[in-house]
Amino acid sequence: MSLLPFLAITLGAATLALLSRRRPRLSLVVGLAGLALALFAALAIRSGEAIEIGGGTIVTTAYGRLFLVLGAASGLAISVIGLATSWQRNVPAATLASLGWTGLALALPDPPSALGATIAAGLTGILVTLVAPLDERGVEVGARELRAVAVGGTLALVALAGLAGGLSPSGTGAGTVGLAYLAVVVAVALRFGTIPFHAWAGRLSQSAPGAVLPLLQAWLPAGFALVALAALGGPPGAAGAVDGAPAGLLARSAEALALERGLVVALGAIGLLFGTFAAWIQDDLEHLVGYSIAQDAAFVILALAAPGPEAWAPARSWILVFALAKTGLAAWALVLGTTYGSRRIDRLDGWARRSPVLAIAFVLLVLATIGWPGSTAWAARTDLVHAAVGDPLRTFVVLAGLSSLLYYARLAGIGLRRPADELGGRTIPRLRWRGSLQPTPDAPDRAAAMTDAPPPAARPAEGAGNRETPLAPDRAAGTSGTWKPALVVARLAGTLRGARIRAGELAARFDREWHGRRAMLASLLVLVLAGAAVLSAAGWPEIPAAAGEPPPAATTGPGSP
Amino acid sequence: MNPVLVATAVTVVAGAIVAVSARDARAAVLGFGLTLVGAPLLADPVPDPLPLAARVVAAVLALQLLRVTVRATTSASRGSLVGWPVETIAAAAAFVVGAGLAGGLAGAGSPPGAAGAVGAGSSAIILGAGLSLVTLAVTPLVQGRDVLRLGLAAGLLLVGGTVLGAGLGGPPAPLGQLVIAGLTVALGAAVGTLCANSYAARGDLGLGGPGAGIGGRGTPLQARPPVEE
Repeated sequence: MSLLPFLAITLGAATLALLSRRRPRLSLVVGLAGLALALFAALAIRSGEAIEIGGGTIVTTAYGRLFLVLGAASGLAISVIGLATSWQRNVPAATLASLGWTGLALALPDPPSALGATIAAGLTGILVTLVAPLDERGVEVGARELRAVAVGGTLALVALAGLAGGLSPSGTGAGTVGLAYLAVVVAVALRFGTIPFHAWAGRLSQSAPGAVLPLLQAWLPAGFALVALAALGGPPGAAGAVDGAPAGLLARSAEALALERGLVVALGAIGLLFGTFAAWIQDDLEHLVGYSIAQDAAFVILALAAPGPEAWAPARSWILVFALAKTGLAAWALVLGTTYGSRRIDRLDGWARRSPVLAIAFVLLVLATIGWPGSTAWAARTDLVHAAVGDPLRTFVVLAGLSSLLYYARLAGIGLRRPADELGGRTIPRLRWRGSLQPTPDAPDRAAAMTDAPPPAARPAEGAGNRETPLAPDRAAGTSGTWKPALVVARLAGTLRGARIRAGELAARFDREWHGRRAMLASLLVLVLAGAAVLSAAGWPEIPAAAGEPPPAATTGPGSP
Repeated sequence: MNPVLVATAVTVVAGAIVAVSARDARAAVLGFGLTLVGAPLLADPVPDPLPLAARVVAAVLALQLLRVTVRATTSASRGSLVGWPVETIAAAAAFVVGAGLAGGLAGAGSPPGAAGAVGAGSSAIILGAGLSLVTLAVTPLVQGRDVLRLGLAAGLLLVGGTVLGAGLGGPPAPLGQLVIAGLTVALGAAVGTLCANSYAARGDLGLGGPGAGIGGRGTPLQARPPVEE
């Protein structure tokens, strides 16, 4: 069974990385090596295999394999980018554990069991909200995430168990089924943080580092949504294919659930429209990324409103493209923010002129998110709207979906402005790569400027700061011969000090070189992620075919947790 | 009506009441443990020994993770916001509503419990206990002012969800039991880590601004003062 090595590697490496947290280097090596191994293990998964465990069946699918491959690859990429920008030691371990649980969920035919696995994935994902240095806000964000996972998980767990237990969409049970259906949709919306269930997601992007946003807001909720989609929507002709599960519920009860479906469509439209508004008004780059993820996740909500199985393949295609493109966007924001030493959008004048690699990556990411006519991403978005929304509102929802172009255009406009230092006005520091900008003789410290502190003009440049102040032995010890021994000692001390200064200069030079290369590596990784997102938007590697396949079919066991 | 099932339900709900209302953090964790260990038995039929053992071991592991955190703090906390008598009455009311829900679903032509796989009496008890757990979790989940209490409430909510699921959809298959066991361990790890980080970040387990959790007769969970030798 090719899935078992993947599960063993992800869960085992995650446990080891967490247990070795007190030794950061070891934890880092274990986490990154685990992610790399997980990628290879995911590539080795073969679809169509089934194994009996504990009276149930685990079945691998091509789509599950694709999800895990892309998830592991993007997790590895964002971890390396995080290593080069603002490292958070829990990211690889939490990514590994989450991928392990999600991999299990996508292979479980029984929806409530699969849902339990996605809840466990969400709980392990909480670890990434605890960032270093530890502060109260991190704990509060973790607590909010815990609330969202517990409430969303319980809602969906009870609803799916009720549906699996024989609630009938006809007769007097229709109202109960409608409530169960709405509960599942609200749970999915809560996990994605789509408006109006965005409170926890807003705090998340406020406090958590950008490297964790794709995992918490895209990949983990995506696994949750896939399970919900399999339970409610189901692929063409799959009604009843899943033993004991309500596959095809929406297809079988489209008429009975018309009111509830209308509410879900409204929820999706609100998420698309107000998501754009929320992203547009943000001044913080990572806030914008967070709301951008929440906005595009509203397409998944629309998929849950489609009455038939025609939304099955587009929704699953969109989920993969969406998760990959948003990972790229979060990585882009992370690198851009670190490069400019600020997450404030109004301080990024001319970023596209100064960082052409990031500019190209940005264009690719927008292209991957929106798609182009004929592409998988474009087709998925339009098919989902067409499947869920009737004619009078269809155009409105399509436009709401495209409204994300507004905030992308805003970012592009800021990037294409002439940088402030070229305008002769306020000078901005040159690009640095240390998380915060270093002051230069002709540029004030940005942090100091923000706090109205006097500019550190008199502060010497880093690395050469002591060049002007070596001890002058002759003057220090005087010229009298009686002080000759002291003079020798002082000269020796001066020599040692000079050697130390030279060593410090060499170290600083190496440090600068290394940081410069890290910057280049991070930018190139963002470009690679953006390229991968465009390829996925074009349908590579066989995303439409994998998305159209049915979910894993159970062979035994009607039970559900 | 199965008397063993009734006794289990009462024990599980009593543990949950202790978890949400005890001012002593160790007592709260103990009550939560009672709920965690008893929850898998709220099923008809009772799970096979092996999956049941997995659930119990997972519950003990989760409790150990919580115990490690509580050990580093003083034991006093605010406890329930409304007091244990109110929590008990709310749990009892929810139990009655849950039991009535079983009858209502049967009357609507949708018998709970995997299309009637669970007996009507058993289903009523299971649903009643599940709804009680969910009800007890609501107040600390919404208004909780310390991480431990919030984590226990999240745990009660999830356990209540699985119990309700067992009442509505029938007992979990063995593989489902293993998944719930893993979920229990993940819950313990998540709550334990949150608590440990809260302790490291601010010296107590409070949520919100300084002094959060202080009120009434209790104090927030604080770092245990060093023992002077």
